[in-house]
Amino acid sequence: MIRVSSVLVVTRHAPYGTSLSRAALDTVLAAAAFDRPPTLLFLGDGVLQLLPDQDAAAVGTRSHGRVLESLPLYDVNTLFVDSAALAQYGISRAQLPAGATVLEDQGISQLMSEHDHILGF
Amino acid sequence: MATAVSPQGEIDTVELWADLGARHGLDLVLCISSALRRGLLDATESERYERQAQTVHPAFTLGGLGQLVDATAQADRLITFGSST
Repeated sequence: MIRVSSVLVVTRHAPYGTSLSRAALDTVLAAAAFDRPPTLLFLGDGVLQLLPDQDAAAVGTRSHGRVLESLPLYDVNTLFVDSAALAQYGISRAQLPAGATVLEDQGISQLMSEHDHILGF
Repeated sequence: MATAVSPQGEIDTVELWADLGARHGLDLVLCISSALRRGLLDATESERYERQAQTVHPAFTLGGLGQLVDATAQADRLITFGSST
């Protein structure tokens, strides 16, 4: 049996202002569409992507939060989230979407070492 | 970008990539949606979107994310470079 390599997508930028967060999600969705759903880690400023009730109409883009909500449809059920960044931005765990798992630094480092490939955005 | 011009005395990154690809027989693939968003079009795309110029250096091809997924699955090493833009 051929072992499928594991991929961790790390997204570490805020949802609007640059296209990086969107590129990360597009990559996750593409991989999932090819039956290779990757693991997703929100690191640093990336945790801002998880804030509820995002309204992106005024900046003329699609709501990032809306795309995130669709992830379970693509079998991406676990989102790993940087605990220190949540504290820095004053985001409570109750605000996070279902399936979010908060990790301390040690857990993050272990997550990274468990994957064959890391794609950074 | 084929239409980018580097100032004198500065390195031409696109030419360096093209040279690297030619010397080692590498595929140089650009994500098509990222490329279009930034005005990088090849012959097919400039025709499709009725733009007047081709702006992708001929050493590069445009590809979909499926190609990234496939290449990642087959690779023993994967390197990404961080960016703030």
